This record gives sequence, C-alpha cells and structure tokens, in this order.
Amino acid sequence: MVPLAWYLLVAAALFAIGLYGILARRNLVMILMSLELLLNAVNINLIAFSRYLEEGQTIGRIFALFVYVIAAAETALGLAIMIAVWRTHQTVAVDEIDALKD
Amino acid sequence: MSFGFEQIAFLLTAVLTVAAALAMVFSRQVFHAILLMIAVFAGVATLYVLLGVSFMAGMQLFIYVGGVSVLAVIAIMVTRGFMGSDRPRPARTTYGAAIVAGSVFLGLAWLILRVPWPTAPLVAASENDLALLGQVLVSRSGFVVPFELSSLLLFVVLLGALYIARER
Amino acid sequence: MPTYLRYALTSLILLATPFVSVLILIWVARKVIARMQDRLGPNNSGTWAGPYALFQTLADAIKILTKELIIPDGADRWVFLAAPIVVLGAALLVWLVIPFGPTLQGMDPDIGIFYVVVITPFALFAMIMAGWSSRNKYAALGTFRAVAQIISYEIPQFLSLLIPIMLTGSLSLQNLVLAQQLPFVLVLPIPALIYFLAMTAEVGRLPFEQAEADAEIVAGYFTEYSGMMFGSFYLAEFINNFSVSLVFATLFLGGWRGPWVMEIPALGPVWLFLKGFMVFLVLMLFWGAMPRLRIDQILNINWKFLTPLALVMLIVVAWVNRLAFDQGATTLVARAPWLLGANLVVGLATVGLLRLSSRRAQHRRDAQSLELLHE
Repeated sequence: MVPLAWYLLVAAALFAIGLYGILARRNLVMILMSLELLLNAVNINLIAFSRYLEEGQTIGRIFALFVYVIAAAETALGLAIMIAVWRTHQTVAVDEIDALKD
Repeated sequence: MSFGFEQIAFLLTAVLTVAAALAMVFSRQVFHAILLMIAVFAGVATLYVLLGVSFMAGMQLFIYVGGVSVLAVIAIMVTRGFMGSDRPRPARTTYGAAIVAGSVFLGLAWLILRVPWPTAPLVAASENDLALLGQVLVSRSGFVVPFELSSLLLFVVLLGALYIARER
Repeated sequence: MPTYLRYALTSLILLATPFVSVLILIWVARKVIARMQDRLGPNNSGTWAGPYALFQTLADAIKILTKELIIPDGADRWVFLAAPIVVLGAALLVWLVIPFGPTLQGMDPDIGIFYVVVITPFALFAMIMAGWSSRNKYAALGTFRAVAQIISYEIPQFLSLLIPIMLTGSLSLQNLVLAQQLPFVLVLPIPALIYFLAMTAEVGRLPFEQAEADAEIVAGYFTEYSGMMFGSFYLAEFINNFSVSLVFATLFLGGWRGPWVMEIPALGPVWLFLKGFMVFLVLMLFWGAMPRLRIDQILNINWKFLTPLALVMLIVVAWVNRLAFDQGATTLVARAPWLLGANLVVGLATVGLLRLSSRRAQHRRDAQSLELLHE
C-alpha cells in the first residue's frame, strides 16, 4: 500500500493551490472554485485518516459526507449571491465591488 | 519500498490531479477552469478508489461533477459575460498570494514528514461495509441529529438561494 | 488463461459489443420509423447494400469517415475536439458494470447502480463542452435545453431507482438481478414507469427531444460538428439509447434471468439482449409516434408530476414493504401482492387528482372565455 504521508502531501498541495486561487484571482467564480479545492483537500485527509488509522472506518467517511453537504450548500448560496451581485454591479471582479467605499 | 502497480497508479493520479489544479487556478478562461476543476474532482475520486473506498469516489463524482460543476455552468450561462477572460490582478497581489500559498504548503509538508505515519491501513478494505456506514449515520447513538440538521440546512439554503437570486 | 490476457479479452468484448449491436440497432430504428411513417426506409432501390439493406449503416459509417473535419473559426479548438471523445467514452463506460450473466460482467463494484448514475453527468459535460466551444447560437440553445432537462430528470430517476435498491438491500447490479424472483416491473409498475420516462428524457428521445429539436435549432449542441466527429455524437446517442434500455431491463425486467439460464449460462446475455431490445423498440416507437413537448411542458411534467409521485412512491413502498415483512411475508413473491396493491392505490389516486386538476383548468378556461365574450 501507499504510505499515508503521500495522501497527506497531495492534500496539502491541493490546499495550497486553492489558497493561491482565493488570494490571487479576481473573478468570484474562480474564488468559489478554489474554495472547493480546499474542501476537497480536507476530504482527502479525512478519508485517508479513516482508512489508515480508524478501526471501524466509518467516522471519517461520515465527516466527509457532511463536508459534501456544506460544499453543496456553499456553492448554491455563493452562486446565488454572485448572480445578485452581477445584476446590481454588472461585474463579478471582487476588487470592483466596492460600493460601500465610495 | 517497492514500486508496484498501486504506487505507480497513485503517483500518476496525484501528479495529474495537482497539475490540473495548478492549471485551473492559472487559467485565464473561466470555462476552461471549470473543465479543469472537473478533472481535479475526477482525480480525487480516483484517489478514493485507490484508498479502497469506492462509495466515497461515487459520492465525490455525484456531488461535484453532477451537482457543483453543473450549477457553476448554469449560473455562468444565465448571466452572460462572466465567461470572458479574467483580467489578472496586480503583480504585487499575485506574488503575495504565491508566497503565502507556497509557505503554507512547505509548512504542512514539513509537519507531515516529521510524523511517523503508518505505511499501511489498519484493516483490510472491506468492500461491503456500506450497510454499517448507513447504520451509523442514522442511529441514535451515531449521527442522526447532524444528519437531519444537514437536510434542514440544505432546505434553508435552497430557499435562501432562490430568494437571493430571483429577479426583482 | 493468464490474468492479463483475460482482462484484455474482456475489455475488447466490452468495447466491441456496443459498436456491433449499434450497427444493427440503427438499421432497426430506421426501418421501424420508416414503416410507421409509411416509407420503406433503407432498401435496395439505389445501390445494393445487402439483403434488406442490412449493411446500410456500415456504408454510412464509411462515407462519414471520408468527410472533411471542419473546425469553425472562433471555436475553442481543444474543447471542441475533446467533446466527441468524452461523449463516446461516457457512453461506453456504462457497459463495464452491466451484468450479462450470472458470472458474465466486466466488474461488479459494490456501488454498482450508483456508478451508472454517476457516469451520466460526463455525457452532460460533453454536451456542454460541445455547445460552448462551437460559438454557435443554436448549439448554445441546445445546451441550455439539454442541461435543464437532464439534471431535472435525474431527480425522479434517482428517486425511482431507490425503490428497487430498497427492496434488494444492495447497490450491486448483480444482486439487483438475483433479487428479482419476480421482475420488479410486476411488483413496482409505477416506479418502473417513472424510471422509463426519466430515462427517455435522459437520452433525449421524443417526446423529450428538446436538446436537438431539428425543426427549431438545427441539431442542437452538435450543430457545428462534421464528419466522424458528428458520427461520434450519433453513435454515442444510439449506444446510450441501447445501454439505458439494458439498464432498465436489468433493473425492472429481471436482467439475464429467464428459463433455462441456470443450466446453460450462455443464455444469460441472450435474454438480457432480448429484453433490452424490446425496451429499445418502445423508445423507437415513441420516436416515431410522439410529438415534441415544449421545454416548459417538459420541466412541468418533471417538477409537478414525476418528482412528487416518485417521492410518494418511495415512502409508500418503504412503509408497505415493512408492514408486509412484519406480517411474515419474507420473500419478494409473498410481498408482491402487497406492493402491487400499494402501487394500484397510488396510481388510482394520481389519476383522480390529475382528472380533478384538469377539470379545474377547464373551468378556468371556460370562465375566461366567457369574460372575453362579455367584453
């Protein structure tokens, strides 16, 4: 079998890439998608831990299932907010949505 | 450590997944980014298959490819103009983000490599433990309250998303 | 036989079967629809194409291979080229898990039927890729319609799928077949009907043919494709039609089960293909006989009729099944009358409600026209 550390390293890489996407992109869609990368990285960790360290092999998977619920909810709400923002501002670039500053 | 089929399959999947993720955050076209995101999700699902939890791989594809990505495509298509290319941020922000992300990865990697993790699973993969998973999920001593709460959460999110996104 | 040789042989057979059967099925479809429209269909009037023009499909395939591949200006080149490959791949992946016999199956994962459900979005993404990358208004319209239709109909499809899964207690397709001492269509006629309608919408056959409504939007999402790239979409469509028919046969018609199949295992695929062929024929009869529904009608049928009905069926069947089990009916055959009765009650109630609502709508229309008359 593959050592557990390999899975953790892949998850860490995905997490860092997602973090970069959130910080460096302007488009709201891209930021939402990078957020999904973060959640995926967390899920890889949860499932790998449950597979390698847990006797019953269920708790980690159940936590991952709840993460899926949160991810679906977050995407639905995020995209809804994005559509609303597009209607009022005609842009989805985060640094141009600054109505409160002016 | 010997390099068998499993190790090679893992390395191949891992490299392709990470490469697709990198291409995703750097891609200028939002539509291409979505396609690459699907590739990342499929790669993560393959990792789950390699871990011996094919049910989670199915869930991963079901929720992300069938749900999240389709939602993203629809949201983008109903609002014309999103799909255009994304103007890059000022170089200062990009470099800052790269430095933050890089240091987070290096820190995590340092931590991971310091710990003597097990190199093999505790028990052999049992393919037919879906029933156990379901029982734990809905038993009173298990997770039935969060399970029901998550259905409530999804319902509230459904209403909230409809309310926010409706045309006024 | 060495393992790798067996794997190679299995993959080869699993790849070849869809293509070969589709070559025949396209001919069947054209013949059936032609007869329904009082035409001859493929025949020997022009050049000779075998007895009854059996090789017409092969000739068409060779013709299409020689055509030029045109990539439109302004198309998103790589996405445009990848879409036909993805659509064909997604169509072929389903064949991996269909059980052709007691021991004859590409593989039997524990998530079996869930895998089939999970594969569908990939075909959808091929459509999205094709529609987006073509930079064509008709293609974009076809994609909108396909996406709205397919993800809506996934919901009643999955809900009605849960009912046989519940009775079997397993997701594995092989176990689903083994559980059918009676074909599930006799026990669960309403879920079978819901699944059939949802499946017809899934592959976009008439009356749900909105994605490529050829009288309105040329050919929908693959308008811009030519040559073998078009051929790939066309093939994938027929492979999909046949594979969903096979999945329906596996789920509701008893799969490879049939007389003498235990003595002669080779009969398994024969029964399965016969059943699948009957389902395919019904799809083709729909194609020949049905008008095309509007997109709003299609979505209304789904959200206001099929989805609530599937939910009600799920609850009713779970409850009745438990009740019958507590009464001592442990086998499926013993529970069949209970479940069938429940189906009948729900069916009658549904028909009653539908009549009531249609009478109300008629009243409203009458009142409106009366008002118009007075003005």
